[in-house]
Amino acid sequence: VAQNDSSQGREHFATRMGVIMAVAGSAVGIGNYLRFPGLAVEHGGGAFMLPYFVALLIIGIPLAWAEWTMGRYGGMRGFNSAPGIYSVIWPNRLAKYFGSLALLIPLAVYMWYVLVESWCLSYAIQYLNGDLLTGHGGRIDQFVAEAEQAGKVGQDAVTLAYKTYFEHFIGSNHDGQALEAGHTLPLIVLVLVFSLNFACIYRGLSRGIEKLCNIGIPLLLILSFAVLFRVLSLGTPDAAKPDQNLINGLGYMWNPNGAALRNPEAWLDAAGQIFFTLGVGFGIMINYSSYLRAKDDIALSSLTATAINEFSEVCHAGLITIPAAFIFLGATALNSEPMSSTFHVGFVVLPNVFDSMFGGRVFGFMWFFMLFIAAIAASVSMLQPCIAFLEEGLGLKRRSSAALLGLMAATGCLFVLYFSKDSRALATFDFWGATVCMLLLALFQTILYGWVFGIERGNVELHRGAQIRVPRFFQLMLKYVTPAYLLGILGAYGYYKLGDEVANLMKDKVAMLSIGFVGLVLAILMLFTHLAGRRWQREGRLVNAAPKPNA
Amino acid sequence: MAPTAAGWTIMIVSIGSVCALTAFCCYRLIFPLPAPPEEIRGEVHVPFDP
Repeated sequence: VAQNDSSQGREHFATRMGVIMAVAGSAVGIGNYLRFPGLAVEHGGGAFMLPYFVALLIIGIPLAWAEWTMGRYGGMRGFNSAPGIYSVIWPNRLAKYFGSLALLIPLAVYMWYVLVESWCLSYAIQYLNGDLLTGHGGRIDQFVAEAEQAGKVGQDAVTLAYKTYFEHFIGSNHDGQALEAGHTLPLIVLVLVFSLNFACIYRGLSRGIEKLCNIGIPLLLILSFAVLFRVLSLGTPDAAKPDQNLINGLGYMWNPNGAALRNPEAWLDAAGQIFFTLGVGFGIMINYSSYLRAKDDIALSSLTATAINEFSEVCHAGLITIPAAFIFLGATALNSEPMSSTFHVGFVVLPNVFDSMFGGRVFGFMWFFMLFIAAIAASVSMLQPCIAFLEEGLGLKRRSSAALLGLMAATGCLFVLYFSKDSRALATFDFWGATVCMLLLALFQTILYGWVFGIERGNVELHRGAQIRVPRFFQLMLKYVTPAYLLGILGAYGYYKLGDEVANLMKDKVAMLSIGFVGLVLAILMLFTHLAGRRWQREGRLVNAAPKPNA
Repeated sequence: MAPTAAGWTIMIVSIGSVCALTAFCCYRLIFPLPAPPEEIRGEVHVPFDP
């Protein structure tokens, strides 16, 4: 398969495996390993799997097929960006503005995600040099000494040390702390990681993203398997605490508490997790699939990317994170931890575990390096929709579009980095720029697919070159059940969570500023979309959007 | 805190079903379905040179 279609000036993935790895790379992220297990424990352990799999079947898999179908359809008509693809499917001048949302979501998430990615790499480096292991004379020892001075002893002192270290590391105590002296390593790593992302994106789809994911995803799985085997071989590491063993750790994670299912938040969080983990309604899949050719399979490729993501989440994370934490910390300590907090589980609980584990230095490095790989494969994918749009919408060359996007992303990243107190800017970007917008975009895309594009046409397009037959009831589900389910979730989100979020927003200046920043980015993207629409109209691309002969 | 029967069942069914889905996808990727034979339209002209 050609890497670049010179006659069209369009990029393509070099191999079919490449596209699957790229989509899996965009889906497998930090949330797979840290957010999913914490949510499961909080919402009834094994019982959480019921709403989780229901959401996967009703929202995740069907919506992924719909996005791949619409993406390839738009790509065959010469568009790679969501504003263009939506305009081809729905010839209405409003359609392209919904596409701005598909550009905003990955960009807004990138602004904080790259920061978390740099934390993972920094922690991996600090495991190598011994800074994060107690008793090695590293930085964590200073924090343990401070905790002991504060009256804590033993495991409590270590736990408090990891917590205060992390808060100091991310600058959670006051705004601007992350830019102060003593934060040289995280800042250098952030610049390095940011540059690495843009170097990848600058090299293009096939030579950049595809190569990164072709190496990164297998490496991620190898590291994940290594950590999994280590956890499964832990047995009962402390003979004085026979209850803290692997089997009981599995019980802590998987024993169902059916009563938790009566709480609507369990169903909301399950649906939210499916959104985040698969990246549906994120604007990335529709962009990636637009680079496919007319007869490339999408039905099996989409399902495979979903399966790889679920494999890392359910089969690996479900067996690693919580059981390991249980074995070393015990049920009492875990019950007092905020397990639904992704960062707390990842950067406070697990370092505590590695500190107690034989070979913790190696496995701590492997774990955080694995998270870094998962994060970079995802973060690079967040840049591609905007790059594609700036190139085809504004006619910019790769260098100019990368520079413009780099400026926007760096400004947002600095904003999140500066307003670091209690991670308020990060949390606001995440909730308003991602969670709310993803739900809205997913709802729009479902309606676009089921009611505008049409399930008959969708079925034909999905099966063009398909390696599997998708049962027809999935199409009916996309038309009726998925939008209804999404509307229900949106309504429940509004009822249960929006009030608190709005109240928090109103009394927090940083949160208001963050909303203003996200709104400004959206306004700029909508202006660009408007200019792009006029350009496409002038060139007659929207009127004559017939399939390109060699697409 | 040992896994109950329901805990074991949910764990095995969840992990088993995800593994089965992944295995099926990998199998289909490695052994793709044969392409359907192309439909021949119109007359077939076989060059004949006695």
